[in-house]
Amino acid sequence: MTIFLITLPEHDDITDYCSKWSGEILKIAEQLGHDTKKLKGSEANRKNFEGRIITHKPHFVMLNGHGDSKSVNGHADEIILSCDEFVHNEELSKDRILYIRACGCGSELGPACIKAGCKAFVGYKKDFAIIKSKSKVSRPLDDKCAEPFLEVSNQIPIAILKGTTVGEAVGKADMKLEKEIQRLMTHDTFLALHLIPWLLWNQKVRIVLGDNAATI
Amino acid sequence: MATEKEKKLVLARLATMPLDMALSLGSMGSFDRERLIIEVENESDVGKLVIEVYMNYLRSFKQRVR
Repeated sequence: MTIFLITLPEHDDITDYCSKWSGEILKIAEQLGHDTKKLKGSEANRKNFEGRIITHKPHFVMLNGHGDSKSVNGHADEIILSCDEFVHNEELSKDRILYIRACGCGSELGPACIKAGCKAFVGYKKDFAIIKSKSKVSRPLDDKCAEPFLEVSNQIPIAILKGTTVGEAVGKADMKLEKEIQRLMTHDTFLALHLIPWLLWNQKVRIVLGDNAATI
Repeated sequence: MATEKEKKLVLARLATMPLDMALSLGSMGSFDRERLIIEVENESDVGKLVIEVYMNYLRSFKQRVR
């Protein structure tokens, strides 16, 4: 059985958006019968993260949160994975597939995870952008501006959970992006003007490291 | 380095951004229309990024049309 670990911090707007929109990923993971371990809200801290990794040895780990080139954070921006701690990092990432939906982690943390034995790493080497409606911040799932950003990025973990290779999963996200661009351009050109530039930006800064053919 | 023409083009685009819309850029924060215009006018790091992103889109749009 595949074990899937996901962090769902929700201490500010962006983490709340990413975590709420992860519901689609969780639903599919459960439908497919994967053993899903969730670290929600304040549970998404370093102690719990390390504990779940050591106890359950997940095949696939997805982290939502803020980050920078060297680290990714959980609840209240506590660092939960950092490239400065090789031994620690090796224990946490070796033989796993990692998808990190956070800013900047692809530039230094990604290569460090691969060096530590991670099978494949998908992340973003610069800021991950989301356009949102200010009036929908309390109801992220109703936010039509944010929807394409989260849905495109969700394709990567969904496809990995369905058993495709990491390379194919990224291809699925690109196909979804293309569909979203077509939809916006034909149905809402006004929205398209402001959403498409940032959807393309996220694609541009996305990075895949390690084995493209890796599966769970 | 953005040209004055590129900067003006992006400012014209930003002027059409709905007031309810905001750009979230991770730890850099959240930027609504007014703030984005100020960032571009001042050519701050965020402003330079905004110019780059909109200009990349316009170039890719031109390629799509071709």
